[in-house]
Amino acid sequence: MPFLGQLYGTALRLTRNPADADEVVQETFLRAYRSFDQFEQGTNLKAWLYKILTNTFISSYRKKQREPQTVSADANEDFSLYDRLVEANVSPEAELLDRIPDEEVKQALEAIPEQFRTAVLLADVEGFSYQEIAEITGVAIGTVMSRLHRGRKALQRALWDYAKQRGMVTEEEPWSTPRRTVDRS
Amino acid sequence: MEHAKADCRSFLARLYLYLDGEIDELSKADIDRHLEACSGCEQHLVFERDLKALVRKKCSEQPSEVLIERLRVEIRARLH
Repeated sequence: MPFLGQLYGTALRLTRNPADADEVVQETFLRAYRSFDQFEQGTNLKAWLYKILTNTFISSYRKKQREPQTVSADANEDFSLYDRLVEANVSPEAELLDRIPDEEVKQALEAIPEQFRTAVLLADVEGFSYQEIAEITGVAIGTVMSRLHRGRKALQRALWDYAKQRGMVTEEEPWSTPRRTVDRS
Repeated sequence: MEHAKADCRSFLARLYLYLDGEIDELSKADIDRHLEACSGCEQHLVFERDLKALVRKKCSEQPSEVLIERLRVEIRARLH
């Protein structure tokens, strides 16, 4: 059963709990074995399995309808963690973020709405190309890019909020400095 | 702010394409030239690249052999 471990890892990030991940992975392989005659030999087996995984997850998740939308991905489209760190006079280095516990980063990723989370998972964790993600999720490449962008920005916002809460960074006091206005020209 | 220059804005607009290896050769050469001249953008690129690697490292999940074996057994049992 190829890619079983990797598929399980992705399923866990998608479903956010081991019991559901277990079920989604089992169902993925059952579907894959039953429809293996539809797999074109010589094409990308990993992407084909991920497509089944994603579809299995979506159909079971739609059935359950229990995805809480904890982060709005739209509101963060222009968010830049790099700029925030520079503005807060913190050296913009990922080493700072490395101090955030793994569990917190996982939770931040899992809090992103499903479509955006899937794009970030497939691109940044699994290393698929835009074209592969388009095929796996059944959308156009432009949509992949837009989802990936929003997902990354939502994740950056969540990491920034965490760093602020834990006192790793201190935002400028709004009354000591005039608020920076965004130049939209 | 930095990134005020047109070249910097153009770099920012293509940063993720560059990072994801989804950029054409010509644009890549353009950006490489800009990065050599602009330490601000270079620093920004390094940050985003490290952040991408960090997400991969922290969000990857390698299930135990015991778990994988159990899944294999259960899937095989359901197939028959």
